[in-house]
Amino acid sequence: MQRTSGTITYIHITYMGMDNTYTCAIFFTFHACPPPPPPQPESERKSERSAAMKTILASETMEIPEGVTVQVAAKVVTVEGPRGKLTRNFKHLNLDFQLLEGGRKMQVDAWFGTRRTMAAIRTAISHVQNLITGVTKGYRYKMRFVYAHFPINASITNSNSAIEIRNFLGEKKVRKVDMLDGVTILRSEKVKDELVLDGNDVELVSRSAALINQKCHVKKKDIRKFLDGIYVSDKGTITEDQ
Amino acid sequence: MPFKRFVEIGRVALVNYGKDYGRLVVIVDVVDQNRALVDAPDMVRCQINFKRLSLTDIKIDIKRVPKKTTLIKAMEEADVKNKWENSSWGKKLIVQKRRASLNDFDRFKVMLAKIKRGGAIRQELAKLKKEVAAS
Repeated sequence: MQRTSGTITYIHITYMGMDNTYTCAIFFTFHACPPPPPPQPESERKSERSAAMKTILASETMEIPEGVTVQVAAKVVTVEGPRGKLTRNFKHLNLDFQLLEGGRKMQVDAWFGTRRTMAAIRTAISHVQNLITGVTKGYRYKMRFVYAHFPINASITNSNSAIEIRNFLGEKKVRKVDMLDGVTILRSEKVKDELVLDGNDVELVSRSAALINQKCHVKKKDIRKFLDGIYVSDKGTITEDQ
Repeated sequence: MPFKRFVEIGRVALVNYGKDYGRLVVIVDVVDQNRALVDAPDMVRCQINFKRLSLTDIKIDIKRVPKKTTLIKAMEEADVKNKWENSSWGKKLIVQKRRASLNDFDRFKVMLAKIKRGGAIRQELAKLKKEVAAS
């Protein structure tokens, strides 16, 4: 009978910004030796990968600040705060989400996870943290018009949810970009040639910014010389603190 | 939603496949990722795959691989047998076993008892219906 063969592979200590908390997870892993591959002639050998090692339990915890309520059921996380409500579906991940301490902490577990699933733990936590800042502070992306000769003419239509771009590089084509759900756009008053995109969901705000940027690509020219376009200049939050 | 029943030393489990089907065993050691060393008062200690086990809520306090006498004493102290037989899962298994071991005469008696029970339920239902109709 084999004795329990295992080692403490690594002690995973994480620092979760908000109030100097450290969480520690000690990973005890089992060594499982796959059977040696049977000898095969060179021509018939298929590409075989040996079984990856699985870590019994890997988990991380994050703090949830005051004023925010998080609900999680069946890998769908809903975050509610002063600016509104956001949901995110994590059904493509094989992770265990649970709320501890009556909603003040959230823990994400990966049972018998491979390297990939363990990497997904921290990304899931980052996504939830983005939801939380979206719902408390909101996201504000600023974009600047850059042009050498032809001033970019932009007009905001549709009650701040669409933008029309004219005279980009002197072209007659009018480019119209619709903002995504929950994202508003306005021309900044004091700063020349600046757009401000506001919203709660960082994915939607950044994607709207990307849509505007991509509409204004220069074609069939040396892009090192023709630097015109609308570029993201600042990624931040709406309510500033600190 | 988090897991409540863990594979640990002292966890009582039910064997759900194989030669020892239906037996309550105690996990006394973990061999590797897939197998456990398992023991019960009336069997030789052996290794078994986790897939053949269904974990229960019951856990006893033992150290790794205890002697048979220590194991039996710990099971007495934790009162595993009674806890199991009083749990809804344990009760269901006892009923299933009883039903499987009926002979034809027993099944006849069960049929009569079911008819009688059905009759009593229908009488009560008729009474309640009459009350509702009257009001």
